[in-house]
Amino acid sequence: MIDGADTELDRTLIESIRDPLTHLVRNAVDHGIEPPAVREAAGKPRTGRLLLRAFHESGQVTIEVQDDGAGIPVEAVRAKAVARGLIDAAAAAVLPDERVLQFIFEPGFSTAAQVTSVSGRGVGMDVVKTNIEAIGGTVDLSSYPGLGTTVRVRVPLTLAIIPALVVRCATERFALPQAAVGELVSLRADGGPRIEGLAGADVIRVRGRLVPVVFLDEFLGLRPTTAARENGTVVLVRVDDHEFGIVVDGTQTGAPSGDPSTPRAAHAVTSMEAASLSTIVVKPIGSLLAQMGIYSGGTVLGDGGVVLILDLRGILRAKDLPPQPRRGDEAVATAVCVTDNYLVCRTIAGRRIAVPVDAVVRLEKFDGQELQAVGGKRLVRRGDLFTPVVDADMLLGTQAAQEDAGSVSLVVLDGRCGGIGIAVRQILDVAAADSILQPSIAAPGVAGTFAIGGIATELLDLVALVPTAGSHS
Amino acid sequence: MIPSTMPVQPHDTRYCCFVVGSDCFAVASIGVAEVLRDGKITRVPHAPEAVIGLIHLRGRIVPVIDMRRRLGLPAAATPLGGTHLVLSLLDDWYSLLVDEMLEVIEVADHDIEQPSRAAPDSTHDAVTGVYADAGRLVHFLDPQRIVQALARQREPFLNRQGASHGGI
Repeated sequence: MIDGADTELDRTLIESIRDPLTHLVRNAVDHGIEPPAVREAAGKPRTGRLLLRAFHESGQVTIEVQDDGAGIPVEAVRAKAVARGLIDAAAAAVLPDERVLQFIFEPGFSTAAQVTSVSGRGVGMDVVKTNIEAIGGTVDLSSYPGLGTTVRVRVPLTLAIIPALVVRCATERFALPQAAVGELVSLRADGGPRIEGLAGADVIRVRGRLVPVVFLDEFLGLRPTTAARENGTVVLVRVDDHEFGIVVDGTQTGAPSGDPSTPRAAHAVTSMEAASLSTIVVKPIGSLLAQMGIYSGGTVLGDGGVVLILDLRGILRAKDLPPQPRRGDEAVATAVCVTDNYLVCRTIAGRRIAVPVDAVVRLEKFDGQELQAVGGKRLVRRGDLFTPVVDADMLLGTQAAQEDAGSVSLVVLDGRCGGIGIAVRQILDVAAADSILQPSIAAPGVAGTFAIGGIATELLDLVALVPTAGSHS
Repeated sequence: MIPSTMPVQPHDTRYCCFVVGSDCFAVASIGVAEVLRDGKITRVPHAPEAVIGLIHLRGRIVPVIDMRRRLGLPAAATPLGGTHLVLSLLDDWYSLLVDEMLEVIEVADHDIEQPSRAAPDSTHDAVTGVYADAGRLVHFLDPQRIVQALARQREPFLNRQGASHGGI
């Protein structure tokens, strides 16, 4: 299947990506997609599916080669990386799967032992990466066991005309590709939208969702970080599965430039139409600066000024922001698969459980007296806010331990999970899983078991919470 | 060493001389695209230190390398003055910000002496030869090396940012 066949690209670039792309397609067919009999046994259609997708994004052309094959055996790659001395065993054990997959791009990673199941996939991947990087592009790879592999090639356009949003930050101006921009939120000191800190990470609350934010001035080192954060504009952008906000002083036409502290009488949420969009010509900024990975190019504005175009994916990479699942119930299910970090807790009965950090809004401590019972439900009150409380042990179907007066921590989940608080004895850690999730069959409330910090940990099944949440909202 | 049957490559022996600090430097004139004064410079956050920004040159965006910083010399008394010596290196264009342009000289290859190999520091790593001319010493610079050293010197930006991201 081919999608985006009409996506245009410079001729010189086409020449440069022909060989790498051919290689990727051949790889997907040779090594990704399993033989029909194997596919049937795995409950998949006999015919494999290979999707080629091309589209413009952030001043770049993205080409995806996606198969629905067996995926790359991460553990085999991990073992091989250790065997080849690329990483020591202890470090490899805790390396997240997506980082492990990057070893595929190591020169000669697979050619050493063609016989292993993993080797085929890596043949020449280093060559693909080298070729794409030579023209200023990037190669990403994601793979899910049993579901398939996606290789994403991004190459810059040597010359492209894109709509962009020009923002002000400190004394500088920057352009953001409009395609990635979702909405603009004006920060207000007087009770309007503001930046909150959730466990050290800055977030903004947008219609019940918590979105991580990056302060552009701080990120670029433009001025001391003491600048007021009450004013300004948050540009919400979406890149791949990530949504994040970029805090800037304002947009080009927002307020007279030069005085970033001027309060703007803008609506709390500005519509895109109100913002200053301009059509810009993307120009290369030279290999030396393109290599930095945070600017995808430059442009010359009508006033003759040169403005850098921010590479949103580069910012995402540099800040290492966690994936933000899309809205809706389906998103909760994916969050369980793709999230990077888990909050590890001990329940009152002593079980070790994990909750995806993405789903956590805040953590609280409370004692038994603060619990109020209303119509058979338990609630904890914080000001005007009531949070329904569920004992983690009840969700897991184990008998809750004897109620005692010890301090209890509350893990408050976000709206998608009904905004409930899960009562646990203790928050132990935030960490990535060391192993893949082994789905559980019989245990209620448990999505599966994996190792975190080398200890078996049960992942709380948030999908199961969604139906109960519906009655509250 | 060249066999007589082979045509001798026409070799451009002209060099553009310029002043940075108190020394005289030169680059092959064949790579010089343009010389201009002033030009508004847009700074590039997190760029290598010597890359002070970008200028707009007839539709092209050109990074500016401050040669004083590149050569490890103290900043000029009047900041951001100077002349842009715009070079075209294959597809990449760079502007070298120099104190003052001098004349174009013609020097035969055999008159260029090897530079002293004393210290390959930032002042000397791009010098490919020296030439004594009318009481002054001209240092020949290789534009590729000027840029390459900057690419290496680039701060490990991604790692540094990534490291600041911790857990709760």
